[in-house]
Amino acid sequence: MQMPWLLILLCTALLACANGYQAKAQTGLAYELVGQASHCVGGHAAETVQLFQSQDAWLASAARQRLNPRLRNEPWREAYLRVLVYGPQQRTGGFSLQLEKVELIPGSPDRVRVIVRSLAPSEHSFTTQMISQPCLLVDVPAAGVSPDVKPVLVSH
Amino acid sequence: MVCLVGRGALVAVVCVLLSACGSDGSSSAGSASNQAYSLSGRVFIEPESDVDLDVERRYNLSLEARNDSIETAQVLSNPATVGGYLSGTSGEYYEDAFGNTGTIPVPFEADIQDVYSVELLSGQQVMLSVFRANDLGTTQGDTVDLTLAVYEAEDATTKGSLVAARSFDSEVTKGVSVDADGRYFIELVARTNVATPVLYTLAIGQSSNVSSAARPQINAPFVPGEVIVQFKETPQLQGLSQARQSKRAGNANSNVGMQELKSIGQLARHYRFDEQRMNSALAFEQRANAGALSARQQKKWQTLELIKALRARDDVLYAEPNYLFTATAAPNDPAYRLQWNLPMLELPSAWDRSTGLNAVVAVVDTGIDANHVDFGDNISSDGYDFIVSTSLSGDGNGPDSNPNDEGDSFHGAHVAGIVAAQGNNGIGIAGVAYDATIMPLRALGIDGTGTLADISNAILYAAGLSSTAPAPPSQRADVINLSLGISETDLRMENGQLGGQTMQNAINAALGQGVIIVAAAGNASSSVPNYPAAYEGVVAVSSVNDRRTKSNFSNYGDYIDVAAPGGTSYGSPYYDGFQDGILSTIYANEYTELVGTSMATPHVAGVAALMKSVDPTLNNVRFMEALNSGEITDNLGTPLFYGNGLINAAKALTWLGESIDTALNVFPRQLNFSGANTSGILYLSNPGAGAVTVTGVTSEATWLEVNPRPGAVNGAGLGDYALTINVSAAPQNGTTNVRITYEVDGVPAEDRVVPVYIAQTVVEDDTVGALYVYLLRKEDVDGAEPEAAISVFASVNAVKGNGAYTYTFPAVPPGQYFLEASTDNDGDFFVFDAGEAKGAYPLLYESELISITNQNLRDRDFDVAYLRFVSGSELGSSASSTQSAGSRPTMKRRLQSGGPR
Repeated sequence: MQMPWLLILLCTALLACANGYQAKAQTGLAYELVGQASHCVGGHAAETVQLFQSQDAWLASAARQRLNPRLRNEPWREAYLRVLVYGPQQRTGGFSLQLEKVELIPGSPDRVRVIVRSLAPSEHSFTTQMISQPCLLVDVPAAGVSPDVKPVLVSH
Repeated sequence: MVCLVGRGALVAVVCVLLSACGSDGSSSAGSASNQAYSLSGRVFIEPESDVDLDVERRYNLSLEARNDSIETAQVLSNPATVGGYLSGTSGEYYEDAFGNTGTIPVPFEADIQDVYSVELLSGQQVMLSVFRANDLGTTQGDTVDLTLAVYEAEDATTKGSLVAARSFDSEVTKGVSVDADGRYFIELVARTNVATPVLYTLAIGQSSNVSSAARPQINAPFVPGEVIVQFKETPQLQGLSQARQSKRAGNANSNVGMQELKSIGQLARHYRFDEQRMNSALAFEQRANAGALSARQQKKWQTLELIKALRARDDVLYAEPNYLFTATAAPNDPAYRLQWNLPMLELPSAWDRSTGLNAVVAVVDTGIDANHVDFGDNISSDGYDFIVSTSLSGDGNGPDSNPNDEGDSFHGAHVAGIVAAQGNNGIGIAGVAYDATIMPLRALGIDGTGTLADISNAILYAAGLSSTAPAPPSQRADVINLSLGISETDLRMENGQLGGQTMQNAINAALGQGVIIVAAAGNASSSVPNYPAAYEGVVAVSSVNDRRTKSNFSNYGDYIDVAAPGGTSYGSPYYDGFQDGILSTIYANEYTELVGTSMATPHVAGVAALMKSVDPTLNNVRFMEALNSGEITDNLGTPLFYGNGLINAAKALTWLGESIDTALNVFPRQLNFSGANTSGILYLSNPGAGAVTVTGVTSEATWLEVNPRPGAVNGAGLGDYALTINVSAAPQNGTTNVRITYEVDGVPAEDRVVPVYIAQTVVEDDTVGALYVYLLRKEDVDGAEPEAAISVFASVNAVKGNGAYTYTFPAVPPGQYFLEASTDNDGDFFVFDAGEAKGAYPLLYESELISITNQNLRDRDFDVAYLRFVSGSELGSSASSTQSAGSRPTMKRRLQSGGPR
């Protein structure tokens, strides 16, 4: 006699989880990591995120910023937005960025939040002695994203 | 008066003390001696300094709530560097009699939020450095929990959209930038009831530059009728087809009446204006003015007008005259004009005697793109890949004879290009020893890291010794360049011993073969040694910027042998003619600017190659002798920063007996004044044996003063000239020239003209708030226990004046003292913390004892400044552990005294 109640409880719990997942999924975006580099090449930029809505804007900016050629030459994909994330400036080589999430900010559909984590080199390794700045490149489907969208970087 | 401090109710006691010990709230030097003398001077603060209003008047030891909301946001100038304090909690730390963890309460106050308001330009940045305020020996229980958020400002008191946010959970530097001009609010928030006290420095807009303001002058030397242009959509940079490139270039020609002469690698295009177009410029503009010019000047004026029109076009990234460079033996590499680092070392004069032919330089690094067109035939076939780990190598295999760089930093190619990118080939850049041979040895992986074993093997191989490679190189390297390192802290083993014995052995073996080994001093802005640079016999290279002063990131210490240009970490993100980064080769025939002691090191390797080329008997012992003699360097003072000084290629060859041509060398070739920067130095030198006599160094504008620096100009007029902008008379954006007239062996030579550009930002009165100036007695310093805090002997409150603070100790007993100044933004009575403005006489990192004997001393002036970056050496350490100088490296300074004051 107790089994139906257990089943009901289980189903309720699963439903709650599913609803929760659905609510969470509404803000998540199907992004794709296109490339990354331990140094973006081109001197010092601020830790920042940039969003490009057209190929022309991307190409012009990438050339102007002297972006790392390995990233700059990544082909543009139609129907996608391109997000370029610069990590913080570092005192040596060996640092990188790890992309954790790209999502719409709940309640602010014109804001895309990009969450990244900085990774340091192993404590006992020898490193290049250049001021470096890791970066990564992400493509995000343009469908469903406001044309006035602005990116917000969250790093930790 | 003797002021004794009890340890109980600390705040009250110190308040009483400070009010009792001097009429202005300062304490005077003690009356322990019947004889006493005054000591006075000025403390200059770094331009653009500001302070969190909450702590601005913290002489009274209590916080104020003056900038804690949007409505009361503190307005900052731009640029600015602000020091401040935050804490999500109030409470107490407990210390002992030595300043370490104990039972005596040291209170701290809560300050949850600071808000600033500032006008920012697109691309400018806001950088926040966070430092723990706890001075005790342990940080256990401390929680750094801080948020930096930047908002658009809808109006003076209304917050708009969030632009970006950063969280801080440790001592670190982070920044954000904005993509549009406008006013912004900067909010710093400590988590309520969680965050413990932190000190911070907030740097605003440090990376702005004045490229848009730079306009060439008619007096500058350039080819009339010619222009160098880079279009924004340079086809090669975007992977377009050759046909499309040609079409685009053709369109450009027809638009502006230009005939393309040649393209400059992938950097830019070189055009000549046709006659009709030149004349149209004259017709369109003011013919009357042109009538006063000579025919050549008219053509130059026309050229500048056409370049001005080009610059206004949307599709033009930059356009500039085809400048003429008259330095001796200047190579024809088109991007040479961007290589400010080379004339700094008097390389044009040196190249008359040596370009490094037959010298071999091993570059132990990330590998190389040997197909880069600017390496020409300068790459040795002896290259090798020593990386064992496939995850590090990224090429799917272990060691082999292919040293190609599979990574994405292109560090090895950049270093190799600084040493020996081919010169005088009409392509790209010139290397220091541009005919030398590079032996590329790959020992750093795709992420820029490497192992002790791989690097040691590469060193052995380069020296022609037995290694994991199947055979030694066909020709042993003369010089080994190591633009890599690890700090002593990270090299220490668990038992406290220094690791890396394998590498030290490899280095000793290579030194035994006579090979010259140069290595990077490190970028931690720290005195903690970096290895292999700090190994005996290795030439340790620190970095200087374009002003021939220590790069903000460069390590320092008594292991530094020599300095070389490595740039500044505030560099602009692309090579725009500003003298910030070091331009060199990377990948796929491209170039970029990089910065670091990694870049300084190959300059010294290159000069060693120039020397080796003319004297094959040169070895590491003689090279070190040459350095230590001071005869192949420019003396920059402060040996802790620069070792024997700045490497000088012309002097290096002179030391070997080579005859260098007489010439006037001028550095820099242009000056840029941006933001609040209002002074610069022009260096004039003659590397040859003949006579160069400078007959005049004059400004062409009333707002720019040029004066010889006292004691720094010799009888021939050679030396340092100080340039000072008269801010009140100068335009917001403007240009002028410094004209140098001179004679060579008594014969007047053609004037040299140095362009000067200015772009001013309105700056409010600089301040660091409440500033203490204090004395430490030598005997107290010498007798202090390790890890103990030292009480200051006497302190006074500095009085803020016009551009500087002044101080006077009215009665100091005879003795020897260190003189320092610091803010105390966390009000914990410990000064000289990281995150607080601080300085020492005469220099922060090289303080000297002041002797009070039998007379008053005055004009003991020095500087204070904020630390803008969290350096690795300061992480988790007591606040003053690495910033103190000379003979007192690890002491905390307790402001209130337990003895006579």
